[in-house]
Amino acid sequence: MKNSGFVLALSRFLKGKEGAVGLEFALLVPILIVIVLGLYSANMYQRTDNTLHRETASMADILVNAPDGIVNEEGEFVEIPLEELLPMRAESARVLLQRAFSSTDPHSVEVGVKLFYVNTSVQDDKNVPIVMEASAGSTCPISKSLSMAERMRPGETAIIPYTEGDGMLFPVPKLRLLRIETCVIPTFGDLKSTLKLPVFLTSEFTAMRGNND
Amino acid sequence: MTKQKRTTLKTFLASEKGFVGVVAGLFLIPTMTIAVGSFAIYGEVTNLTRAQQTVDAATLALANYPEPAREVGSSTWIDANTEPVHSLRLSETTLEMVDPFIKLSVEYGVAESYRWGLKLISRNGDMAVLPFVTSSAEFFYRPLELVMALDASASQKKNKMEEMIRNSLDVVYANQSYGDNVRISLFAYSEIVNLGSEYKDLISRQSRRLSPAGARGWVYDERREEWIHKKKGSPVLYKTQRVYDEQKKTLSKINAALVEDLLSEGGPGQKIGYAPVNRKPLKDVVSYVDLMEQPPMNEEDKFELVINDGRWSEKPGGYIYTYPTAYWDAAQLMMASEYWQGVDIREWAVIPKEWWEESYTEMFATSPDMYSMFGDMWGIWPFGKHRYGIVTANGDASRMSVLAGETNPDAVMKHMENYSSGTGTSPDEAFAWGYRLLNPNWSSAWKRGANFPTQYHSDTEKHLMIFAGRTGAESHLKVIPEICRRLADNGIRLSIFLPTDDHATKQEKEIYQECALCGEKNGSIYREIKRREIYQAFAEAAGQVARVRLISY
Repeated sequence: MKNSGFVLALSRFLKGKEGAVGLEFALLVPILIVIVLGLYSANMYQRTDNTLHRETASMADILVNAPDGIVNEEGEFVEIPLEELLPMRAESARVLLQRAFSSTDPHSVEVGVKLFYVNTSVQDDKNVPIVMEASAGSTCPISKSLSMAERMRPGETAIIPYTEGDGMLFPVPKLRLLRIETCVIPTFGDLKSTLKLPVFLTSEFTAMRGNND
Repeated sequence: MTKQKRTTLKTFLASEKGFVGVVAGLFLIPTMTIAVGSFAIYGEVTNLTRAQQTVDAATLALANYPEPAREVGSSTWIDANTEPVHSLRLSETTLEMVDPFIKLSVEYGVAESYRWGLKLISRNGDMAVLPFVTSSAEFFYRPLELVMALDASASQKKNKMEEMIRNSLDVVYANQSYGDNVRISLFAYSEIVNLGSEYKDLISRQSRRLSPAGARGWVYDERREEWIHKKKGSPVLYKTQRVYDEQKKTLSKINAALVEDLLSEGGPGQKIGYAPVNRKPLKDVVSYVDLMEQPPMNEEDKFELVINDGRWSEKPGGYIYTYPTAYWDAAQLMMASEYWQGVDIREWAVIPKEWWEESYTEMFATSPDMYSMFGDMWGIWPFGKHRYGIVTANGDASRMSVLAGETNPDAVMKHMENYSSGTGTSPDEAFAWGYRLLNPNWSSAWKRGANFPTQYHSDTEKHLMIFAGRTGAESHLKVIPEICRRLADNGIRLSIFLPTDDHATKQEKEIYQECALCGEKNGSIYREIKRREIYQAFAEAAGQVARVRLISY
């Protein structure tokens, strides 16, 4: 009987001990791959997050100390109005950030940079420092409870010092404050198309300096 | 255990089925534990690094805060950068300031959303050791020499000037102590400057006997750059003995005691130490300004320092008189003091009797010893200026003398108590004496040690702030650009403030603007001010002093 022959063969196969190791290994491999890839992804995610924060903090430190100009091709320092300088700085920061994530193929990473710059000597008619903004690259989904403009106003939430003179409050002048908000879409080299996460990693850092710090 | 059970156990242990899975399972447990542990440790190290960056940034930012505001600012600044540290939340900040250090310590707690994870490994969800991060920074100083030249013209009010200086010093010091790193010099200028008793030796005793008017009938015409004679027949021109004799003669007619008091060496008029210093007649700008480069080295130099152009010697109405006005100023001071209250002004005023009765009786209707034109200052000059040119203190100096290199702001305010105003202004005096107070060649004159004023182009910031006033007479404006050039060349920052638009002529404004332009590289400015800008200038000056750097352990 054909059927009884097939059943017997199946029964022998199921009861047979030959190939058990291979079978168990085959069953375990996908689990191991998932675990290894999970660990790798988590590690990459954490490294990316850490790199983003580290680069953001150091860029804030560099940019807040940068002079208001550039060195031209002749090696001369040329002062540039902040309206023009700040977008240039944002673009430079974006390129640097991108390189930090991928030195071989910078374009494989999507990053965004937004700068807020305040010179406390530049104020509006209410003695509140004016916040200048510039951005480059992707739009970073960072939402703060208080905007920079709000944090400039005197009061408990002010992020700059005010002093009192002649019955008026005025900000301590010539302080430079720079806030940088950055974001990156985590991608992992060539696997970008398959492992691109649908979330941004974001970071922000604020630094302030006086005249000679 | 039954035999059957023992057999089953032996069979299980001997069986090869599931061997790989069991081994792999057993291997995965420590592997996963190590992996998760590594992530946790890496994460916490990362968090601590970020927390350190946050505290460092906060420390540097707080160093720029006025001291009273630092405590509040510390939480604001930690909070501003703690956001990226996902698992941590600010718990407590401690700010310690021990000059010249500032230390910020921050204790973090674990964010609420991360506590569930901790509950798996601890009883109550708290970490045994909370992250504790500190950052220390050290202030180091760029010394500041700040000279304030205050207008003492009639448009200035003592209380307003005092208030402005008080507020400005508050801005500069902001409860910080700079020690010797900030030195304030202060003087009030009109057409002359009161050196005060401490520096009266800068001018010669002989020159102090001169009438500032020089001689009767002679005035110096700046346009023609020569002395011109306004009254026929007068041969007198800067013959000291002769002027002295005239003074003596005049005083003798009033009261013989005045000769002794005012003309004798060591008399009250000299003891008071009042040393008005007027300007040299301007014939050559460069040689005039050259005089500022060194303090007077000999009696001749000292004499040169006080000769003036006698422009006040001619008065409206055609009366031209010479009076010992330097001593008249001294008399004013003495009368203003408590000791001299009650003195009948007629014993001091060089006023012919008939004019007194015609013109001044009303002013002293109550009591001759109660006349006070400017509050606490005996103001005499209106007699001459507004009436017949009889008596005038030639370019009344402010009672406030020169203060050089003071390190204590309270002492500066104490000195300001002597500030008085009430005459015309010659802005070149402000530039000239401001320059002298910053000039290292004058170190011996100011008696504040060899390091004051410091050498040019050293690490010391030198800043001259001039509060310009309305020019009351012909000024030596021509010398100002030359002084400004030297200020700029020597790296001195110049800030010129004009209280209102009408406090300077078009020509003066142009000169001030040129001065600011000349010293642009040093940050020099000229402003027709709002008060706020004054305080900002002071804050900027102070901002140059304290710098800060992180300390690495």
